[in-house]
Amino acid sequence: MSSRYYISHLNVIHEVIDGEAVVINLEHGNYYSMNDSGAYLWQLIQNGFNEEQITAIMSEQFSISSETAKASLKVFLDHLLEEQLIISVETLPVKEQVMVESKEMVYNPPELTVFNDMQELLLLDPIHEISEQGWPHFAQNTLEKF
Amino acid sequence: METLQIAEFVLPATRRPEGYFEEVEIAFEKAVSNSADIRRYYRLGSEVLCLRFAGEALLKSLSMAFSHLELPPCLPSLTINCWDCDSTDTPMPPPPWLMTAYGPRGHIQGFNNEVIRTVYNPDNSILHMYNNRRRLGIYWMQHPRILPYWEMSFPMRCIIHWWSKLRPFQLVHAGAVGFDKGGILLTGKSGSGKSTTALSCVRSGLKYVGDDYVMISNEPIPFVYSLYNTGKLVPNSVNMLPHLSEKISNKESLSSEKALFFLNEHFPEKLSAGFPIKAIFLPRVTHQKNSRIRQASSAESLLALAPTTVLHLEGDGKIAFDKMRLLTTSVPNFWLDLGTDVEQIPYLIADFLERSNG
Repeated sequence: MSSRYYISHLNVIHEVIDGEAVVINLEHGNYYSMNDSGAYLWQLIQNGFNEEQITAIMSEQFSISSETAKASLKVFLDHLLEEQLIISVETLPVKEQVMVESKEMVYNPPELTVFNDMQELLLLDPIHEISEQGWPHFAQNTLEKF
Repeated sequence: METLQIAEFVLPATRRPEGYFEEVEIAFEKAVSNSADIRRYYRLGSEVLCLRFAGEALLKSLSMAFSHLELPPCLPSLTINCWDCDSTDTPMPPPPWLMTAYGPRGHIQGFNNEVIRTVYNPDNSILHMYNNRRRLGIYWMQHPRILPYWEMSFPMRCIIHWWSKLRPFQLVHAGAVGFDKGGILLTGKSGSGKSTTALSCVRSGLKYVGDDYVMISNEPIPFVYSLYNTGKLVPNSVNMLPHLSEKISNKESLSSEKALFFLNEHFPEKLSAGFPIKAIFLPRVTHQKNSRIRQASSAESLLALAPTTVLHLEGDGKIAFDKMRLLTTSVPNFWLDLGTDVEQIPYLIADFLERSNG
């Protein structure tokens, strides 16, 4: 059975505007952009297409061999999984698969660009001491967050 | 068949979010009766914020940033009760949550639900709570003290953020400058040049709405509202704007803090409560002499605005993101490549706006 994925809606907010993707992982503070083909595949995942179907669409859309499409899709999916943006599932209620309109684009392997400069905002500050009334004081792990 | 009996486990009311909120509210009223009931009213978008203080200990440090928006007493749509224990000689109910409940950004697990929001800010040990049914916030600390400079620059931002969830407004990590007919929103993460750009305009004909946190609305037209009359600069940027060096409020602490300005003290005529948004500018520092403006996409603008906003503010990220998406697709977006000659910046922005405003 071909793998199907869904976007981790609990922690991931995202939007594709004019073929450009903006994605934020609220859980660990990374945010992302994607190149044209990455944003296109992201929308196919969002619309419920499985790995096999996406490979076929890529092959036709970009006029590339099925092997090339499959290999570059796997790299892209592995990266999305590693960043916990998507979840792989064996069974998922199949929703209506709406085809994604694409703008004219020259094929480049799909890429996810990771920005991790705000991760420290979501780090836990260790508790330094606790007042008699029960309120903690935290040891600061950053001097300047703002 | 044997039935498994599961005993219902009910927490006492004060260990539930609503119950604890009420308990803290009663303590605040005691603090008021032990000291004084001081109320100040401020414009908050097109609505009204009331800061209610138990005594004077926190009055100045929390109200300075809002002073340009002060109103006579009127019906508020958000009230925030501000107090401390020591100056009012009033105990605070101890935290009912476990030590393991403290999460990132001070989020208290189990004390955030559809009605109540709770953050105990690890940066400054200040409790923020909000009851969205009553549009009532709590801002509490144990000891009255000089607040960290950044807290004085944008006090109560997370309570205002929670309040805006069900309203057409959204607090955003951005600055804004412009004319009464319209201006630009300046956005980007810390260090992108928002503050240098905004504060470089103070001596020009442009008006100042903010440099770090402002409030936007999409209805009926894209609009930006001022919240704080403050500005913050790293020392190197102060050197680029020497006319501001005499206005720094925390001169003695510049080895470890950014320079903090209260513009209502020095340039009240330059402040604006808000104006329509004509464009979003994304500043970024270059090493060229000249500054220039060039087209950006809506997605580039959203990437500059949304992560830095939702990752700094606790909760309601999806709703905030949708409001920012709508804004970035409703107005034109531009990169602002900042040159080293900062004197050019206000002229470039004014020229752009005069052409946009017609």
